[in-house]
Amino acid sequence: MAERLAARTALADASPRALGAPGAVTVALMAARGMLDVRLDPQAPGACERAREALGIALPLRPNTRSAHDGRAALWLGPDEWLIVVPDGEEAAVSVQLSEALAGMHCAVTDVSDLRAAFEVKGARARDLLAKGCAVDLHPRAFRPGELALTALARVRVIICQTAQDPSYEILVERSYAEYLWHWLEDAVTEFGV
Amino acid sequence: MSQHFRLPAGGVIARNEPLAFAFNGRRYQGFRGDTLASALLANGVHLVARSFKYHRPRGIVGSGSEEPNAMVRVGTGARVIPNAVATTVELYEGLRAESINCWPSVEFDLGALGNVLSALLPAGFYYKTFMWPNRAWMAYEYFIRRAAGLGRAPYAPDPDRYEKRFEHCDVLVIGGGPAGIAAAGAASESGARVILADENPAPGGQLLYSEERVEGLAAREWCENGIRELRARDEVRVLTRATATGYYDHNLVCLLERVTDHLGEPPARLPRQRLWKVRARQVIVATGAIERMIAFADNDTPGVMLAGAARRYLGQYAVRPGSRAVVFTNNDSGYDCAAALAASGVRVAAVVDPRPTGAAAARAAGRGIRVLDGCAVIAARGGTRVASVLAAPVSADGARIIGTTEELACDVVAVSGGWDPAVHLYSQSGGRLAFDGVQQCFVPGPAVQATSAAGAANGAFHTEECIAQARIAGLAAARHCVDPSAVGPVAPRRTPLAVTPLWEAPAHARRAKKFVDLQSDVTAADIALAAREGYVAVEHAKRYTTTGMNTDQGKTGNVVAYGILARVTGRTIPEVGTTTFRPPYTPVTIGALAGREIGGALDPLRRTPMSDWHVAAGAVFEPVGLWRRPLYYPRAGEDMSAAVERECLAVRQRVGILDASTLGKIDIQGPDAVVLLDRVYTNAWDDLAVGRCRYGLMLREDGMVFDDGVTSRLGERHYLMTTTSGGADGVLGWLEDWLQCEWRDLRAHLTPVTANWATVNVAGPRARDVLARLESTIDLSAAALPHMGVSAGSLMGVPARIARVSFTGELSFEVNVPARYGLALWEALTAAGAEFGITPLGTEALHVLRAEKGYIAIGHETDGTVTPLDLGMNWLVSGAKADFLGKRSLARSDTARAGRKQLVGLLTLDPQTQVPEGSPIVSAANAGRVGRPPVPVIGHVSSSYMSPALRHSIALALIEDGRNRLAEEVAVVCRGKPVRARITSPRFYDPKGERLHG
Repeated sequence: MAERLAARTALADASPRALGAPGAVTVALMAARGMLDVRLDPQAPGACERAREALGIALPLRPNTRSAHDGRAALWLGPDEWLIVVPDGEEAAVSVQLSEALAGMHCAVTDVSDLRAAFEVKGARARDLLAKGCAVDLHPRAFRPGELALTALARVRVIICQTAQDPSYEILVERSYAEYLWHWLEDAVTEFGV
Repeated sequence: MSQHFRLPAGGVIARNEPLAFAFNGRRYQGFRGDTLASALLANGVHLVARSFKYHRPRGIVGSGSEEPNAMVRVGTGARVIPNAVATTVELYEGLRAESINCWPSVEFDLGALGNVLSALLPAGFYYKTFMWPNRAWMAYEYFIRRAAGLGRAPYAPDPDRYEKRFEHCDVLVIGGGPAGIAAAGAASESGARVILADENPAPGGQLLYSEERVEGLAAREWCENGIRELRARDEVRVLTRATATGYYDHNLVCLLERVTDHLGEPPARLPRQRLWKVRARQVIVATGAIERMIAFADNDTPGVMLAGAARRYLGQYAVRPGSRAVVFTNNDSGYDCAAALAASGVRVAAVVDPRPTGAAAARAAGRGIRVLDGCAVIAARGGTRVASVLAAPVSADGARIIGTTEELACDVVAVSGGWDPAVHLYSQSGGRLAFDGVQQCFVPGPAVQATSAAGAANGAFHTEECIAQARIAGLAAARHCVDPSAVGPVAPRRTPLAVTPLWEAPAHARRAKKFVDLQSDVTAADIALAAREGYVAVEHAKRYTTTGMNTDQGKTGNVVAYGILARVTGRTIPEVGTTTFRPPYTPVTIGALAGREIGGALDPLRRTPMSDWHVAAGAVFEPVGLWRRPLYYPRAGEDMSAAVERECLAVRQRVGILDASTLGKIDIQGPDAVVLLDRVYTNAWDDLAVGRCRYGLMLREDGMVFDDGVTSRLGERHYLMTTTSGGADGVLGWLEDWLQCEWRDLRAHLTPVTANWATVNVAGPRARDVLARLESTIDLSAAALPHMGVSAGSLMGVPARIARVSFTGELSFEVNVPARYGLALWEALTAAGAEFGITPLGTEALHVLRAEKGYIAIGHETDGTVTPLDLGMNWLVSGAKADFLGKRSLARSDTARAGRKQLVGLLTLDPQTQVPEGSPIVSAANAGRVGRPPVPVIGHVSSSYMSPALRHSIALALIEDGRNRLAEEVAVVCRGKPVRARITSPRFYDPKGERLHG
């Protein structure tokens, strides 16, 4: 009788999974996805091509951007670092494919599927909500869909990524801070009505 | 209610919305649109406060945030604002306010004794008087501090909500008068992102009540049109009740928005105040100008006010500031006030003007207003309300009385000593100031940041010039955002407001008090005294006299002080210069600065996947970095020592379980990973086999230990480093620094993975029995997984890694699973361990157990001055390696010398006495001298616990030459008393380490 350990979300069991003010802004904990941290020298001959073939998406080379296709995404985290996001459960296979494709190159592929939790923040007041704790200018002239920022939200390291024009943002935060950040969002949303 | 002084018509007030309020317990009525000050004046109340130092009766001097005098306590209960400025408090229904700094009442204040004793309280009195007897100062100070000061803050916690937010824009326009509206309009024409911030309830500034026509429109209409147009633009934000309080580097400006202060009971959802941190590409300072006072005898008598304020009360609030007025002015703007007073039915007894007759005086005379030219007001009379002034002809320099004094009956005196552009923010931006000799004021000079000034803030005092100048500034700022090299034209100033300087009027009485800084009670004589005593530098004079150091920052008096200081020291004002303009421009509540970072949100809080379980188990937590770790898990009736003892014995006798998820984890991959480890740790790593782990010490370049941890070799080129819980970020930064800056040739990638893993340590003789209950592919036998071995596989269907590492000295398994499974793993282990009496243990028990073994803890045994050799860990320092960080420093004469403080154990002679950590240690020979310093200290206690296994208190200590003093008796100084103890080996328990290999 093979009993399997149960998975839990990054939030305390008592926390709600969504909150907000309908019509103004909503915040939701996103379901778990597979995530891989990839370190690779993009200048190495063939590196980017091999990665693209293995992943099905290109590693974005423009700083602070994200490429996405068919349920997979690649986020630029540094000149030689990306975060690959794949549907839950695919990470092991993708990791193997990628490692094999990059065999012989100096690279690192690390499964970080449990390192970060993700929140989706969207709605007309989403920017006003995030402005309470984030110093990055998210105005449409300064920040567009497909762009991301490695910054602090409510004094916690996050990756903020705009996923839709509406606007809609994805906030990736280290799992240990998820509950804190959730409470912060819950408090910050008060002004917009619940 | 009466409102005897309210004009029958006019003003920007809602007469259909009467508001009842109380001041000092008396009930009054005002209207929506009033400030507390205008409502009080409408009811004929001038006496509102007592002064800071002399407790002199004080009235309302200004009409906005420049007000030095009218400080009141507003609100009730926890919502009391102790030092509100009545001229900026918007009236609301049921407002309650009281005078401050007086007892028993503002009319009769016992503190006014200070005025009689004022000879004892000259400038710098705290350096001179109250000096004898020397030790009585503490008593004097108590009474002086009680007598001085402002309102009392409430004791109850602040019930209000405060928020902060960031914002960005192309052009930030500070100030919403004619210049600000024009600048924002011009800047936003091309679609630039513009913020216009005004500190008043409605923008418009003087245009709200000015009689003039602007560009063919009534002033108010012009301004309403302008605001409407701005609000209609998508990228324009108009903020009202928002004061720019500070201007910082890189065009960061803080705005304090008073969101609900004007409402009696704030809606729960809205913050009371919001602090905006605005990053602007261009800033236009359009903050207007502030009128200044002239120092004359008893110019602080209630009823003496600034001429511009008198005009504003008439125009904006339809309030007559009195019935019979004297205007005292050294510039033409005072005549506008006289005309406005006369037009509102106030009898103007005279305009007193030290200048020879000019055109403005002639015009006033033509309207039947008496002008005393070549004269000055030399004193006010009346005590709690002005009853008359003395006017006299004065010499051309204004220094001497040269004719007969005349007494003019009046109940209000409107004074204009000239206008000072509000350059505070411009100066805070780093912008230089220049002195305008014609207008006798400081005006903005060359900018340092992307800043410009427009309108009265730029020394342009005529509306049309303000607007013309501001439009150009607005267009230029918007263009600059597109093309930073663009240089726009600057509108020339055409008609200056000529001011004949008169800082201080002469007086008959030698001891007359002519106030310069009303809020700090600084007089012209104080400034002169400071100069006589050598404080001629303006910054020294400021501090010696406290001029400009109160909450109004001397807005109406500072330039007067510079003028007087210039005169008494024979310098020009530019030679004297200004004091530094510092934020905040107006006081900022602590609540707004704190925002929501209060209570539990004071710091971000990190949780492990098992935190919920610990809370439910009733754990007591301790902060470790930003984490909260269980310190111990008390059972019913247990105190800390009982719980810790139980937890310790469980590990020694059966099995304990510890949440170690907070340990820092760094994944290291690459062909040179081992080289990196060799360079950052003191010991050798090239011989570590796959599937094995090793303990390492990290040093700074100075050879001092700064972190430690166990690193596992997971694959040929793959390692996992663990760090201390609090040190994870620091270690990662340290390694990245070396990799990215110094060792760019090393092929090694670091990936921080701390929170990716839930880590559970199962320790104790039955640890293997517990783990064996869980279905796993990992062989737990001592042969397959020996001490310091690591093995990966699957545990109850999920990926897992198990390492045999021990911080307790017992058989110990560190189990890692992906974080999402952490809680389930913990629950499975506690369930499986129930029959063995598995016991969760907190960090305190862990510390006891590691101290029994003599294991160091970073931050206990290390403090940045301790080398591995000091710790007796030479076995961990490789002599064979060519280099490692800190190696060279270990050879320095001081780090290599004998006799340094060394880690030893300490046993008190009385086994039940526990010495506090940090206690100094002295030699036994000096024990008798404890309490009679100096006593040479030979070391200190670094860890101290009661050991349940040994039934004896144990301590670790760093003692000079400690390893050569084993068995020596020393004295530990505990709260001033010596406690006898004996130096031992630091390994108190299982010194041979046999239990590890169970």
